[in-house]
Amino acid sequence: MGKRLKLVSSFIFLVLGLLLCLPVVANAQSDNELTIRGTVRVGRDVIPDVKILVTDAQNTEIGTFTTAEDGKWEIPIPGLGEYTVTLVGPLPEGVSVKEGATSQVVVNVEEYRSKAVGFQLTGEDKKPILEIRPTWERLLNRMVSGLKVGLLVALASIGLSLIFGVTGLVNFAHSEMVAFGAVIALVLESTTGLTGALFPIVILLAVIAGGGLGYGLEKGIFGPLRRRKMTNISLMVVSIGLAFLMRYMILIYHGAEPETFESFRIQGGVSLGPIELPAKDYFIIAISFTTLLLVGILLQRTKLGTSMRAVSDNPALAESSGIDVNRTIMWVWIFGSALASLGGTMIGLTQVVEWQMGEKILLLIFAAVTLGGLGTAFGAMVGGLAIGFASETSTFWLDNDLKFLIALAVMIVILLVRPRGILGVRERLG
Amino acid sequence: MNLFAEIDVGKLFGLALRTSIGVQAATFSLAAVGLNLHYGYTGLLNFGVVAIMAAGAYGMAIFFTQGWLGGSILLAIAGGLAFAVIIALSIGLPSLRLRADYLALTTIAIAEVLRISFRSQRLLDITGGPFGLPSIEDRNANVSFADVITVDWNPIGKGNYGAWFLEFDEKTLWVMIIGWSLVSLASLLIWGLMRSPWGRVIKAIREDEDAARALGKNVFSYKLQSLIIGGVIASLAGIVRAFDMGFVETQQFRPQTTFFIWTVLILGGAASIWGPIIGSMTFWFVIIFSEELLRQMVDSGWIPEAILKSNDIASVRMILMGIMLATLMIWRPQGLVGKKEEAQIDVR
Repeated sequence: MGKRLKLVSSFIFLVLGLLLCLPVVANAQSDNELTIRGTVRVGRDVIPDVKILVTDAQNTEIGTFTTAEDGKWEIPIPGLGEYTVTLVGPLPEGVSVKEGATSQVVVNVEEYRSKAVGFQLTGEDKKPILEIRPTWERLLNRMVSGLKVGLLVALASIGLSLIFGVTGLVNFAHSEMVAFGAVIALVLESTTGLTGALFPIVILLAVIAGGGLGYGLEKGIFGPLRRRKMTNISLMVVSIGLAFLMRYMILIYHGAEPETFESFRIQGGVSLGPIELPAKDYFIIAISFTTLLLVGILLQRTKLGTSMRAVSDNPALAESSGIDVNRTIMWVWIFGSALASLGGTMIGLTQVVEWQMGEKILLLIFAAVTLGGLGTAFGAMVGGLAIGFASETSTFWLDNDLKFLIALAVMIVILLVRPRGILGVRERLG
Repeated sequence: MNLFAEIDVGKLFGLALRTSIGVQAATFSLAAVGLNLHYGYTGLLNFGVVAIMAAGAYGMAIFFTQGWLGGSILLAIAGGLAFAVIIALSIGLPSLRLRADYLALTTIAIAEVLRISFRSQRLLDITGGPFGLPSIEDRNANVSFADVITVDWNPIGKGNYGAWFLEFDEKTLWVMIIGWSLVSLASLLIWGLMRSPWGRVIKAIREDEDAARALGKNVFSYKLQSLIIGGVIASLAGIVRAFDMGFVETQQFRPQTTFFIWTVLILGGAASIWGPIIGSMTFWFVIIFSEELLRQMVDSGWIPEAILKSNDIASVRMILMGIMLATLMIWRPQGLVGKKEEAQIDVR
């Protein structure tokens, strides 16, 4: 019975998946639709792999496009009106926006015809600056940036998994803790003026603020509720309410405008062998990697880490062997929230800081912890890496807006074939 | 300055009352009736309600605009319902075996998969991608799939009916009547089902799954049936909303809609027949009342700009919803009319 059902449901998913792929393969593109389009070029050279973003007058994202080999891009728009086209980058080494020009162009589409938009770019010394790179090099680059996204998702996910491990709570507000970190860092940077070389201080402060938030949530909300013997499901619903509260507080007090960090605007690429990334990406990869390593050491080698794992395994047993369970849970909240804050700041560095970033990363985080196994920090790391890598690398073949589908599909398939995740041991079946 | 002199009390109550009996309240109530069968009676943590609503609405709109079923609106609605059943099955088949919290995660993920797929530019010709249906040209020409229902088949003559703030035009009134009639029918159906042997098995599953299994009941199959019946009701909510708005687009089906409906159900009281209806009306009354009160207070200068700007008031709705959801869960999990002993949920 169980086996047959599994087979049937796998089959249904296969069919649904194929149905979804069909239009992708068919590549239906009609000619008469209203679009904004253009070619990213420097002189005669076209530039592939540059991301273009179109937003409308209310700053709602209309669409993105990553240019292909021919440098061309085209994004459909819903109707006449004013749109902002942003060159998100990355630009190859030596190419920059011409002095006096900007990477944002506002266009007013007044008639039902596709509107062409160009960016004014210059290369160094007028020498031919760009040969189109071989496909494998572009794939390699996409994979490295997939690694970066994977590390970031891993950073953001650990807290959720650890908190679940010690308390059994699936915390929907976790993604807002990530957004909180990014917004605090942005506000700190603009108010204190700690830019450039001093920026690491901002990151540190944001991490401390994140830890404080974790302390506050456990001390003020989840700790007392747990002692009232509320069930984990009820607490999960409470955390959903809390997530909305936090998300829209950020919207009201931070504003709807997406912003970037002063210290890291659009940067040129830096080459390392065949790999070419914006300078900040190397920095982000290094920081995230080191932090993950430190977390691993902390969990394996320190007394606090051992007690976290013990409480996660069996709270009653941990308690009877002399571990202060409540104190350990408090540290898990502080620690997990601080990591979420760091992850948020880093995500803000690579993309933009905006009030919706929590909502956008929520499902990636859930996919990551489910894949790795809820409750294990190392599972969250592995799961985060895999999900981030898979979804980012998939943009090499698939549309940008489909990359979340990859993450979610991985999550659904894992739940189908191995519900406890890669590293999980707990029984998940009901 | 006297606050009460500045506040237009009539408008406050008028607008709030108008919304609490309007189409929005009817559709939320209908969706909550469906969710009530899933969560209140069967104990399934379905966080993908919005996916089923989207499937119904989009299914209907696609079948109609593509003319796949001969351009008949009734067949298109049937197609939408059938599509919603398929989505309910694909939510249920893989995930019903999972523990409650994982079920919650999976359902919310499937809902987003569906929304992102609908939104994909690759499906522009079928779903209208980010712009939805009907197409931009049709919308500019004021042509919609809703016309058949709201204009051609509208038995109410042109004009405005009612008085004061409760004045509705013939289209809105007609959709309101359809919406609330469906709410009554669906509530009656659930009431009948819960008195049948089927309903007793469903409730037994909520209370103790293993006990139900030990008595020889096929728990999985019963859960699936509950998912489909509740799903059809929820997808009708999506369809009615599409008729009211005259278009469908993916922004209407973000995860927050699911949480709105959860709040409505918990506010009214899960596992009760009147819960979804009272919950939805109260919910919209409270939301619109507070929004309007805040707006008037901001406009008259009682709340300084530094604390709240008038164009931020729309966000207050979401904050209120968050606070309501959290505080109800803590202090009154049985809602307004629910029974406490039926509103306790836990996972082992």
